[in-house]
This record gives sequence, structure tokens and C-alpha cells, in this order.
Amino acid sequence: MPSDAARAKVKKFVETYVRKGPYALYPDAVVTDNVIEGLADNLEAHGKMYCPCTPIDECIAQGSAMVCPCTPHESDIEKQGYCDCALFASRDFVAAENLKKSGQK
Amino acid sequence: MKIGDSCPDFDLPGTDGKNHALSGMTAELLLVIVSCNHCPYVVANEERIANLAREYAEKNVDTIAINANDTARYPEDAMPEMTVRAKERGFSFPYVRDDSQNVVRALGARFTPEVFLFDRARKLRYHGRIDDNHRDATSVKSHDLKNALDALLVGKNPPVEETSAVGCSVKWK
Repeated sequence: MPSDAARAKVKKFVETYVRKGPYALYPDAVVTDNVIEGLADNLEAHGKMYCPCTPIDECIAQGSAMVCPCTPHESDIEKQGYCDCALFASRDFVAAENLKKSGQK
Repeated sequence: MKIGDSCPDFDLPGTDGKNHALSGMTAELLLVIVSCNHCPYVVANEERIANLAREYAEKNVDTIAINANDTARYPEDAMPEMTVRAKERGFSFPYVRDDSQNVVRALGARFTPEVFLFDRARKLRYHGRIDDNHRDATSVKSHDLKNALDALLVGKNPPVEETSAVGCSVKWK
């Protein structure tokens, strides 16, 4: 379990990135909380917010490319609407998901 | 899925070349693990999963691991790679592919690994994580899945029915 300090640092980064950047949060808080937990875990264990969905040795070998927001996140979002960890998503993807959810109600 | 819901039906191809169906899982309890090859959380838990499945098979628990990840984006989650992994790790339980993703969607899984434990009537009795420390098995303080298995095997309710799974997101198509 990461410390509260590491978790708070990651949360702050994520909130700032969403507020200032072109992307929204992936529209499932259970999933995004999980990714934040993984990032905080890596921050504490390895000193950087390495992608929690990539083996840590690969992350370290690729260096800053795999520190969140990772290099592939933009092309992933362009391809599928959300980054591979399901932390960030395009605003169009979020709108479409919200529409689906409202249709299910 | 909610606690008390029925296990969705399945009939899926495994790394052993055979299909594995819900109807063929006849043990007292059924442990379904939504898993994959590539996720670091799964890799960190594989030895634990293999040991647990072996230990509890002797106590009349069937285990099955289901990989539904999109192989177009994650080719290492395709059947040939799964077959290699199952052999390397000595899995004693079926490791199956859910290419349609229908079973994993019906389970309501979001992560790998995420566990679903069903009783004799195949009703969900425990859902969530394996334990509270994916990084270090020797530092686990809360053996949530084991506690649920042990309780159900002696006819008691699991001390905790739901926990939050920790892992990578399922890679949807």
C-alpha cells in the first residue's frame, strides 16, 4: 500500500493534468482510483510515476517515456478513446460512455 | 455482479487444447480468476495463484483462469503465449480464452487479476482481490481470498465478501 503522501501527489498530478490538458478522466472511478494507487505505489517504490500496467523493468529501461503521462498515451487515446491504463480518456469517449449509461437507465 | 448472483455460463477453450464449461466444474466451490499474461499485477500473483489452486484442489475447489484481453493490442495475451505461460508456471487449473469477452463482461470484471468465488449453488460469495499485498507475498496481512475459501469450506460466510481488486484494467475490444 502506498503512503498517503504518495497517493496525494499522484492525485494532484492527475487533477492538474485533466484540468489543464485536452483529456478527461476515464469515466469509471473504480478503475481510475486503481490506476492512481498503482502510480503511487511505483512512485514510492521506484521514485517515479511509472506506468503500473507495464512491467517495471520495461518502464525503467524506457525511462521517462513510461512515466505518467506516458509517451504512448496520446496515440492510445486517439486509437481507442482512452489510454491503456484507463486513466485518461478523450472528452468524446467520455461523452459517448455517459450517453450509453444514460440509455441503460 | 453482486454477491449472491449466479455464475454466468461459459464454455471456453483452454491452453490444454480442451474446452472448459461451467457444467464441468463440479467441485464444492468454484474460483474464477480473471487473468492475463502481460499485466505486472498478474505476474506478481502467478506463483500465489498456482500454489493456492493446487492447495485448494485437494479441498474440493475448482479453479479456472480466464483471459479476455484484446489480443490485437496485446498479442502476448493470445492462446499460444498463454500455453507457454501455463506450462512455465505449472498451472494445474484450466487457463482459458474468452475471445468474445462475453463471460468477463457478464462477471462485471474490471481488472486483472480479479477473483470471483462461487459456492456449491454457483452463487457469488466473494469478489475482489487475492490479498492485500501484490508486491510481496511475505508481507501479506489480509489473506482475503483464502479467508473466504476457508470459511465457505466449513459452511460459514466469508468474513469479508467484497474487496477492491488491484490490477491492470481488462483490455476491452
